Amino acid sequence: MTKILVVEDDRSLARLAQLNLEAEGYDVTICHEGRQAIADLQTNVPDLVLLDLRLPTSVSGWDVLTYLRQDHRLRAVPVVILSAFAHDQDKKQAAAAGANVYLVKPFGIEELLACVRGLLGGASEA
Amino acid sequence: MSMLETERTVLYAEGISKSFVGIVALQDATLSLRRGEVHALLGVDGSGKSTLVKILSGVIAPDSGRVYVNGREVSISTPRIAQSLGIGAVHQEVRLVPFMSVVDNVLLDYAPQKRLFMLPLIDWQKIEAAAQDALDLLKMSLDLDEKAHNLSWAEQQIAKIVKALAAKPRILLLDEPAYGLSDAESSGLFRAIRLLASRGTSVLYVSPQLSEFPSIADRVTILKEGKTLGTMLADEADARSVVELLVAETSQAMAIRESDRQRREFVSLVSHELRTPLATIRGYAETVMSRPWSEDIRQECLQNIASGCERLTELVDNLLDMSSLEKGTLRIEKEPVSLPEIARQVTLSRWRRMPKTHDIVMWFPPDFPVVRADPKRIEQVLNNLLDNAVKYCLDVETITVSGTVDEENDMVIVTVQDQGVGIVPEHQVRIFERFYRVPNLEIANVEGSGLGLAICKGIIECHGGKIWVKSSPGKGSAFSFSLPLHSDRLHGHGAE
Repeated sequence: MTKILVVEDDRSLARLAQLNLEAEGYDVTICHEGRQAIADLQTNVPDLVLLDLRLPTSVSGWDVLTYLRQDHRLRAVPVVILSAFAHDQDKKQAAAAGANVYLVKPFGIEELLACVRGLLGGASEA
Repeated sequence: MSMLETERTVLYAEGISKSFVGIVALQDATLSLRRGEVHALLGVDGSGKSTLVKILSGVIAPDSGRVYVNGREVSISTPRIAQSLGIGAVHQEVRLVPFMSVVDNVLLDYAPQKRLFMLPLIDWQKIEAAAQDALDLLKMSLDLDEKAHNLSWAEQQIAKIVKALAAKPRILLLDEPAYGLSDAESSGLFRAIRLLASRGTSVLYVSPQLSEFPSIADRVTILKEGKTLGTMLADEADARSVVELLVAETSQAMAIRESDRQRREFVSLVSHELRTPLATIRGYAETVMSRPWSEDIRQECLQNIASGCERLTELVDNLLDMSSLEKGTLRIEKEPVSLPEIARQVTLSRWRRMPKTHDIVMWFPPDFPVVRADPKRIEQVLNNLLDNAVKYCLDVETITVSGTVDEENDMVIVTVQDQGVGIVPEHQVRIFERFYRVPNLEIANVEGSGLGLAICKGIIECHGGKIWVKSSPGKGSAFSFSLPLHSDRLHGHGAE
């Protein structure tokens, strides 16, 4: 089963992603903060990560992204950024740090799902 | 001017204003020059120093203002008149006549009366002697018969000074005279200036540099953007106080730039704050329409949409409050209120909405005085402080709302005390700034507009009170606000 890790501090948005991704047949894990996400990534290798950049504690989304790109097991895992920062500068910075896609909030659900399908090679497993 | 001041003052200019095609060069400038003093006029380029010198030496006429020489009001409409009043000047950009010798140039200033007809009577030896005297004073040498255009920059500068000195002025205005001179030449000039002053000549020394003045000046006047900011004794004018005067208005300009930057940042932050609840609303709306979900999930989606709308409303309300506070138009409708009663209602309604959250303990002394305040606004402040106490808690904890009376200051104080994460001192002041968030808080699930405390501060200040925080990291925070008692206590409810 395709595993997706959702790192998002806003509970309603995390739940939104979970609802839709599970309906598509993905296995969804939710983390509300960065440290928890890194702890999860140490033992699990997801097929895709949805990542919010602004997280409340000292481990930010940027730190999680850096961690993902430095770990050889995780380097190839596609990362979709979900962010309320809409500046081009943020997008460029995220791309430079190794993010695959940058979705600006408020994003459309179909947009999110299409993007996830695309990154996972169109293979959604039921 | 006092009598003593009048006696010592040889030149006094007041209210001098001058505009050039709409650009204000001088605005209400004031300057007094005492007998035998070296007076430094300091200011950056474009502050109006040269304009003032030109006005005082009759090169240009002021738009308004009065000039007194030796206590008599004068109209210095031409350089000749200035010279007849004993005023000599070295201007920055006025050149020597290039094809004339130094002595000929000196002559231009030296023979004041009807030169054209007096020329045959000019005592060349006397002029040359006066020029030589000036050079001796400066301890410099210069070929007085050399044509001006053959002189180096420094030599021309010296010739200009010689020209001014040869006329033996009682008031000498020097506009950046050391410009282009070597260190040795400059110190020769400074020495000469001091010597002149000791002989009773008053010297106005214009300088753009702060370092030049202390060695030679008795007093210092600071000119900034056409205004004289003040005059002080050179002894008191250490570099710091001069810089402070000069910087004072610059910091206003900086404040404007800073507020510009803050405004841009504000817009950026607001759009950021709007995006999260918008994402919730859009996401759940699209979700609920996309599939035949179970009734439970449909309900969940709709509830999330509703709470997203609530968050947006709160943010918009907060923005409006913030804007009213900044414009000073926040409406405060004061009436006699019982703070314990407001606290009770706030706590009750919170408990109804969120029954399982924190214990809130209230402690108000009996006969807590009635104060005049806007009950809705005080409710807003209390709710905000309680929201924060809940948000920044570590675990289930007790929150205390207490009231005290500060008889001495005629105030009542309400405190909301939590046992949460606390705030380190460096952030305690800044948390009342809009959108300020304590960075790297070791706590999840903190959301909000970032305006709450800024609004609380505004509301309390509109009431004539203060808001502050006492906190130690790991032990919790106590937010307090005070409200004035005034005489309303005497009138109680009967006042309305």
